[in-house]
Amino acid sequence: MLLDVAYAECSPAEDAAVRTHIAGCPSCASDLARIQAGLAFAAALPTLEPRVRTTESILAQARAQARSVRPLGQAPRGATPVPSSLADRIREFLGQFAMGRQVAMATTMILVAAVGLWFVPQTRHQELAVGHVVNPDPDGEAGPSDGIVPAAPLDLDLRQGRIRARSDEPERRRERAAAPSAESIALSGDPSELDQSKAKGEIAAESVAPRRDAPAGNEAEPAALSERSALADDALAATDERDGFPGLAPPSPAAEAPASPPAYATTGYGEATGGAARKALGASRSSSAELEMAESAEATGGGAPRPTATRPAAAPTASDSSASARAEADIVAASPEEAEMKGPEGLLVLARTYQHSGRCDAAVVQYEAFLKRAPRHRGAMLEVARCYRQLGRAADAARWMKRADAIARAATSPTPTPAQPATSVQGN
Amino acid sequence: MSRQSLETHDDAVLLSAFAQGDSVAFEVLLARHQRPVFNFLLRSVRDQARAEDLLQEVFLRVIQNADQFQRNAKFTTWLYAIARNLCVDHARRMTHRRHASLDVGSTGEDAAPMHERVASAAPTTEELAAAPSLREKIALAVEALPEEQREVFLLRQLQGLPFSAIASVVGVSENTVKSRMRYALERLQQALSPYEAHVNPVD
Repeated sequence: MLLDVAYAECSPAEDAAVRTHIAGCPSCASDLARIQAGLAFAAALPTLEPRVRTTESILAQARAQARSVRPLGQAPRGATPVPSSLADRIREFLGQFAMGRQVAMATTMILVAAVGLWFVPQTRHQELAVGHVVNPDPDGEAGPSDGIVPAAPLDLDLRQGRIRARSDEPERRRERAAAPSAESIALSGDPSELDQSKAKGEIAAESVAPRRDAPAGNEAEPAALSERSALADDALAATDERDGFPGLAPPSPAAEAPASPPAYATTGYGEATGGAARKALGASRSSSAELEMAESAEATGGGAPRPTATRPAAAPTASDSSASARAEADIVAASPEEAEMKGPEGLLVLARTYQHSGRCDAAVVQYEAFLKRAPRHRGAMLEVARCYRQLGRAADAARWMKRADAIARAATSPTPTPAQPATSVQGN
Repeated sequence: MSRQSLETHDDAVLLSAFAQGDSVAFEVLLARHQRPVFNFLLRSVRDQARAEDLLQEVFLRVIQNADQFQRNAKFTTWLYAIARNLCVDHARRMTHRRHASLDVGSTGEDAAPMHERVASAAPTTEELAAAPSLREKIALAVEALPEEQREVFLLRQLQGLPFSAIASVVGVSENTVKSRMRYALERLQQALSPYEAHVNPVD
């Protein structure tokens, strides 16, 4: 307060109060006197001027700074300067990204996320591709794999009423050894036994008699030649029997007399050993590469050991295909039900013709069109499955095989299903 | 804008005008403040050449940071804050230099030993006796004040800053500033008491 009184910076009331106090307080009066003496010396403190050179130097710097600033009326200093050149613009653009660690981390995370989002679907796609890789079967018949591990080739086992893999081959061989062969039955002279055995599906496939017009003395047809094709033929015959297709099923007594050979009626479809129709059908149905190899082996003398190496499903020669087509056409023409069944049968003949000419894709279309009209034709289902396997579409092949298997099971079930009338075939 | 019209404006307006490129506004500003600032520096560093260097440095910083000055602030507070910081930096450098070479002179400008170049904390008897005038004796007495008292005394006496502004520059409370000022005045009176009769008393 004494300082404020000395500087006269207090109110008059405060000043009066302090001076009243000082009048009665020698100590405070002495202090105020010293302060006022000090102020007297302070007022006499000399001040100096800086040298002109110093002042000029400061002004020169100020003028230089003022010249660097835009003229009055223009944009204020501190505003973002407009880049004058391309290099400045590039530098400014890059400088926007040099904002520090956070931007770098954010950029890294975005990149990682982007790469991940791109890579995961790619990996999934590759896995799917690997899973559906087509591995040709060494036997030329197994078809493609539907998984990472190549699928075992499947066969429809009518005796067991199931689909099983080729790995069951030893078991099947044992079963064949235990089953009576057609030849032994034929030698026994009891055709009824043969029919019963066939009806039960117990006849070994290779013993169903030659299906080719092989020489009569060529009894040494290798068993491996016809095992699979015989199974397929059995299935075809059984299906034809139920569906009542002419030329495929045993003809009715009224229909067989003029056209079908007697043996055809007695031995059934699978044992039409000598007829031209059977030869043609055998060639058309046993469309596997193995069977064709067998045919070629027979044509060159027969009996020679067949190569087990994979042979692509080579298209048969034009003459074979045309002969097969003609033979089937003959069958259709010879059938008394030709007029009625010409439409679906034509599809079937066309499908087989495509199949034997190596055009499995076209054959599949015709087979499936046929199966729309004859949905329970198990033989056609098996052929479709075979075509799909040759096309590498294992899933579709398995689907048709399962359908055929289901039909086979329904046929062998204890409760007999009502016979499918021939009129169930749609269309004409 | 003419120089005369500029002289009527306050410091903030002049500085803003200089920031817009008006060098004349800075000339007015410099003419208004360079003398008290120079004396503040001179009594702080006790060396005219050093004070002139620091004066250039102070106003160079004003020039470089004119566009960043906030008009709601007080220019003198900002100006003396710059000057005081430079004085503190200078005192710190001198302290280190004194520790490194106390008696052995270096080459060039600082060739003289430290005790010959820097004024002592208190004027010696010889200096007081050799002082040609009372004004110089007063100057020496002021330079002999403790630094915290001297800066408050100079800011008040040279620039006439109110105690609140001094408190802002120094960074202490206003009461602390007043106490330091009172101690500085009492110390001056004590140092110059033999000459009280030669000065005009302040009423």
